[in-house]
Amino acid sequence: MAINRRKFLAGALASGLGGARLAKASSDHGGFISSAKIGDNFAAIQLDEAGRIVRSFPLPDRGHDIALSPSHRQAVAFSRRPGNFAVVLDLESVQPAFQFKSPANRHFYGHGFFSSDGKLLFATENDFDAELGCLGVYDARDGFRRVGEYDCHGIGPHEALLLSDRKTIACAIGGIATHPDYPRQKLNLAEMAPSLVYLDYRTGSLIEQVFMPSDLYQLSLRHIVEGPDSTIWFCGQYEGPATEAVPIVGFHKRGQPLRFIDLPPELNARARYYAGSIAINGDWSQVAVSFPRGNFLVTIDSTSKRLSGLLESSDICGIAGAGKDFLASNGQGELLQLDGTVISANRFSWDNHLRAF
Amino acid sequence: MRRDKPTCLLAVIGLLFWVLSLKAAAAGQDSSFAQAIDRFASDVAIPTYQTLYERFSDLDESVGKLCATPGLESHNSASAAFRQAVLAWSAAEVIRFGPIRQENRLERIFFWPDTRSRGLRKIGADLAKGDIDAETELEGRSVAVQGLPALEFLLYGTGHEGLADIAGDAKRCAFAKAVSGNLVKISQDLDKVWKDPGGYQKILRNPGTDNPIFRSDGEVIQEILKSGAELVELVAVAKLQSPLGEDANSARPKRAAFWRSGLTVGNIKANIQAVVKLQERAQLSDMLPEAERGYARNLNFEAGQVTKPLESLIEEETTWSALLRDPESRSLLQYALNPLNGMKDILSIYYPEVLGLKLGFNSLDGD
Repeated sequence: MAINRRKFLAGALASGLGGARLAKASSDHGGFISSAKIGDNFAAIQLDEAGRIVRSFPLPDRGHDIALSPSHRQAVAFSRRPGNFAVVLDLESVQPAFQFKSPANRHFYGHGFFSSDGKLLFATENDFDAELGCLGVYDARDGFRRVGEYDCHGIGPHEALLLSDRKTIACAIGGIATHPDYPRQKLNLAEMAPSLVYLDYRTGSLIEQVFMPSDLYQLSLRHIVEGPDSTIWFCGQYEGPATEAVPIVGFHKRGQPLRFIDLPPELNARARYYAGSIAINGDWSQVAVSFPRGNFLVTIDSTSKRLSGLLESSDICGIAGAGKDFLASNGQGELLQLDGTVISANRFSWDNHLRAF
Repeated sequence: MRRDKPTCLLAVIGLLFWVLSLKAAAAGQDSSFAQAIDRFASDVAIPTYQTLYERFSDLDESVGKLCATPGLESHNSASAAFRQAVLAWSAAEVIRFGPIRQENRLERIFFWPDTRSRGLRKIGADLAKGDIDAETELEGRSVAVQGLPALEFLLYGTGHEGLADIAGDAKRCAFAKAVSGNLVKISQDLDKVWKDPGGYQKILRNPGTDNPIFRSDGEVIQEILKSGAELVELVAVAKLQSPLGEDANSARPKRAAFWRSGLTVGNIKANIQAVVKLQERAQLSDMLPEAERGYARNLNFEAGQVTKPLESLIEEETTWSALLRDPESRSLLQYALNPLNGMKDILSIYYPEVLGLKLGFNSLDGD
């Protein structure tokens, strides 16, 4: 499938993307939030809808993704794996930020989500001694006290979502065993079993689990987003031999096998087996996937499953839907529209994920 | 502002020289990258894997003799061959990409750390079942029973005493022979794939848009440097820090690699020497501008700060667990973590920065 950048740019321009005209997200507040590295320090940074910095919340170490409460008044910044802290942020600056931790025998994987009523927070966690993945459940009304956990049915759960039916949790199982005593070392590459898991939100029971096909058993499933027609879009990172061309983006419909998107070979090679983040726009017509090692981002039409756009940017990773369009962030501190317009340049590095609210 | 013609001409000539000098510098860098890649393939990877194949073959022969003629003498010979095989592997550990990452070869040779003692459980179960003989193909079995840690357990672990007895332990020895034979096959494949001019070295030496992995010489150099840095980090965090613990009371000697055979310190020392040899034989410092070659000397200096105390510990011939309990040797091992961090920074930060190969913040380590 050939990429026509010019066509994409024309489409983007026709859709009305302009410097100060970022489409507003569906909330009354509007804005973005992301973890960042500022010099040797780390923070969560809140932006307004035009990408201007509103406030910065210091983090004790490197953060990863940020879960937003349904009211968008509160957010929880998770530490990057194998970190064990989460920082609760008041986006209206009423309450001071406060930190809570995973239990001593668990660490966070960097992702989580709130229940639809905002009363509970779910966080993907590693039960590292048992080599099991779980979703820790925290009571947001009681100082984020841990009140239970759901079994994720696999090693290395990463991003998890509450789907729009408000009954189902989807969770990307990376399949890679790690232990905090051996930080970031992959302990079971020969025996990985990544999968996509659906859990009952109310009980935690397993609804469906779909494993990677055997020829892709080393494709670690990392990031997911819900798309139209009950699809879950995913992207991952491949841990197998670096001589094989393998797809690292795909989608799934319940009851069916995983399906994959074939990027053009030159882009697939440039991606270097690593997709960093995935997001969908406000009308669910476009899915965006970033490839920080390849220094590019693509958009895919969620209906036709065809590539619709390409953005080149060094170390691009964070993406968030911004109305019908997207906003992206990179390691150079830039916030970009998908026509390449830099709407904000900062002297720090944006971390992997950007959230719109 | 108007400029007169000579000034304009000078400016144009100056600009031309500047552009040409940039082009020359880029061309010079391209050729120094290509030369380092050539040397890496010819003088590092190929001889390293050839030695590995030879040492694994010697080991297989010794284990065969042990099974044919059990006893103390043949057990000692097999132990000596195991030591040489571990040292050859320790040198090869610095190459952490390419064919070693295909067909799970790295895990099949060295499944470590084994945080949940998979190897111990699986070997125990297989020994009890008794279905592994010297000719059993292990390739399809768990990686935990295929490589050096498995063989180490069979030669040195609980119940190994029968191997040194004249009566022998045929079942255990046959298992050990199956493992040593498996190691020969894996190392033979590595040797073959690296020596094949149309094999992996062709991929390394011919980056470009048609190359399945590397688009530029710079990407190959990035991979070589990353490989060295990864080994230094593995040594610091997993091989040293994890068994050391916070203090002597919390030390966990069994977390170390090759603690059963007493080769823990020897393995670490050989790892660090391999990083120095990688820099030396691939002449990586030739890629650096003259003024920046201090980084290469610093790497050697830091490596010396690690290996010298390790040598003194090897000479003491004390067991690994005793070293972790003794305050003096503990402090020597603790101290080694500082120069190891220095080595890692040189390979992962300074070399890439000087060579213009720095990876982005979001690309450093997948998440």
